[in-house]
Amino acid sequence: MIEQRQLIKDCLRGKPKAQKQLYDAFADTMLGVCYRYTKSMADAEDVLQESFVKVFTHLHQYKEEGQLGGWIRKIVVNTALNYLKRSKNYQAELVFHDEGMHPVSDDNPAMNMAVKEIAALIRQLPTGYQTIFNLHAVEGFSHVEIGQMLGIKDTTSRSQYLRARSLLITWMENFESVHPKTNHYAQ
Amino acid sequence: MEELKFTPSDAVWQKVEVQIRERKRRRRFFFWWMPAIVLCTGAGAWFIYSTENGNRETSATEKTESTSSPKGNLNTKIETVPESKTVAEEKSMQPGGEKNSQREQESAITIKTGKNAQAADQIKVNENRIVTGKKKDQVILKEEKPAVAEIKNPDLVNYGEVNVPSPEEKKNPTEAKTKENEQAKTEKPVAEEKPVTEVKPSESEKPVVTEKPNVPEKIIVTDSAANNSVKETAAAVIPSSSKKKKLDFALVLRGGVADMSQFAEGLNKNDRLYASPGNGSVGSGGYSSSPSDSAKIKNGVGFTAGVQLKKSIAKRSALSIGLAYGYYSSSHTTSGIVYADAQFSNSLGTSVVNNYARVGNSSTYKDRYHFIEIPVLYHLQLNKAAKRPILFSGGIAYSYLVGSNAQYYYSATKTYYYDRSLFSRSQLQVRTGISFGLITKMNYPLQLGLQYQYGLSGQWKKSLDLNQHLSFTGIQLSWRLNKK
Repeated sequence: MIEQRQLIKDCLRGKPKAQKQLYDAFADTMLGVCYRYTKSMADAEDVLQESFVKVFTHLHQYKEEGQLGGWIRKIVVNTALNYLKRSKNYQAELVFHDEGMHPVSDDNPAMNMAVKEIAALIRQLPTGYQTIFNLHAVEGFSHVEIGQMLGIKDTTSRSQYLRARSLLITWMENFESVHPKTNHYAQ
Repeated sequence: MEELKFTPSDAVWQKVEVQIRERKRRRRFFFWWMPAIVLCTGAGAWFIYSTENGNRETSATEKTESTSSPKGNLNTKIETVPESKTVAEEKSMQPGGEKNSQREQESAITIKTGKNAQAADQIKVNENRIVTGKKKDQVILKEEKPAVAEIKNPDLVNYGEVNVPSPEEKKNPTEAKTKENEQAKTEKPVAEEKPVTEVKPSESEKPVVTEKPNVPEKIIVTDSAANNSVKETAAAVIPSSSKKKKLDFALVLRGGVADMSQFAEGLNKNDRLYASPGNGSVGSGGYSSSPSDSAKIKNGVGFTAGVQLKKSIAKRSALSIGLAYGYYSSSHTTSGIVYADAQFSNSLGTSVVNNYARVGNSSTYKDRYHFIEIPVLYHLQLNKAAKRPILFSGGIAYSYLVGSNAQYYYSATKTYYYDRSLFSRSQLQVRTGISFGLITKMNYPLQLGLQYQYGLSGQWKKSLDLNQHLSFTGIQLSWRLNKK
């Protein structure tokens, strides 16, 4: 904690080494966050770059109330959302419809898949589903908060999330059938 | 999902670093420069405003009686302007105006110029006051030459419009663009990812997984080829400070004494007035038989504030270009402002004024000059010591007169009046100086030195016979704003 405080102080003073150290400590994880929101690694790196510029610009606003990683993560998520809204590629896909709930199974095939496989499946969702799924299932935002962030109703967010979840479950089941692994429930 | 990690390419950090430095530089500009610019602009505007109003002000202790009389008052005394014959005669007249003493009782004013009035200067006095019930006829004597000379300079414009120099005359200072910023616009790095699964168009809901994922959790995003290209780009983006010569950006302040040196024909600092105002007799112009006050031009203060961009061209020499606001002042003594309409004809045309002043000693009029200056200087370090450098600088400066309240001296009748169309707006100065490095250890070193500048161009248009050159001697403080 003291080291982190000293690191932050050095970053605020503009020391390049301290800034690089801070970047190296969080860049890997945050690129994973960016990766989940975008469709390509190039876009993910763009989001990461923008995010860290904001981190260093607004580092003086960090009050040490929570983890530094959590604070940086919030910046990254917001930057990713802004990036999606700005990007012409994504704007066409950011369409939200009220849809009915899709039935989901009780199985949890996700346990048999590696993290990156799940991330790859998430990225293959339509952008709207992908964004809401990431924000709710991964980041932990409530549907009300997601509604405020994206400018939609919380009911829309809820239905989009359920739709995304059902799609993912379907794909995971298909994946399981193609690539069977040890099934915990079967034992 | 916390376990999902990727290693970003090197170019990402390089771009982040460049943008952070850029923002810091922009912040410094706003914190230091904007207040300085606002201060200079505000000070300049205040001075110009005050000098424009200063034409009506007087610091005289005495005023002529005619100044208090409105036009058309029957009891107004005529304000007489001393007459002059030929210019040659004018010059030969004894100080003290013995010859004019004969004309004290005359009510009509005649002004004659001789046939050989090469200067073609004459005064038309438009007397609007009524004396003894009779309106004075305007007496305008005509020479053989036309009274109003044609404007020789077709480019002369009324200074109601702005005489903007052509773009060739002005050199706008270039923005301080470092090479890092220019080269910071690099191409996007080519980053190839090893696909875990093939990504098909999102129209189909069923994804097709073609490869069985058999790779470690942490995916190396870029391959070696991409890394090499990125590194080459990175090397170009961030040049080493030892190879590239930086541009130094500095704040330059100068303060000292301004002087107006005169080389006008017939104008002598010890010239004496041959008339003085207000002797009390009706119709008298206030001529005095006794030798009167001398016209003196006094030094005034001067200061400049601006910025400078310097680039080293050799080990111990550099070139710089700057932009600054300059204020200079001088003063001369008069006998007081005379509030009367008058027209003065000179080689540029006719100046119509509503007040003027005669040479005298009873009041002081302050001439103020406001310039925008663009100095281009050469700097040479005379010693080898880096800790205490001694620098010689020399060069020229283009300056544009944006405002002034200075009075033009009309030598024929020893009268001062203000007409801004007579100023020479674009001027050239020569500068030289020597400075010493102070506090060189810090990241933003200071230099202090002495400066001298001399105006190669006169203050007034060339066709006028008044040749005044502004000079300045003072101290210069230079403070570098970009980090060492």
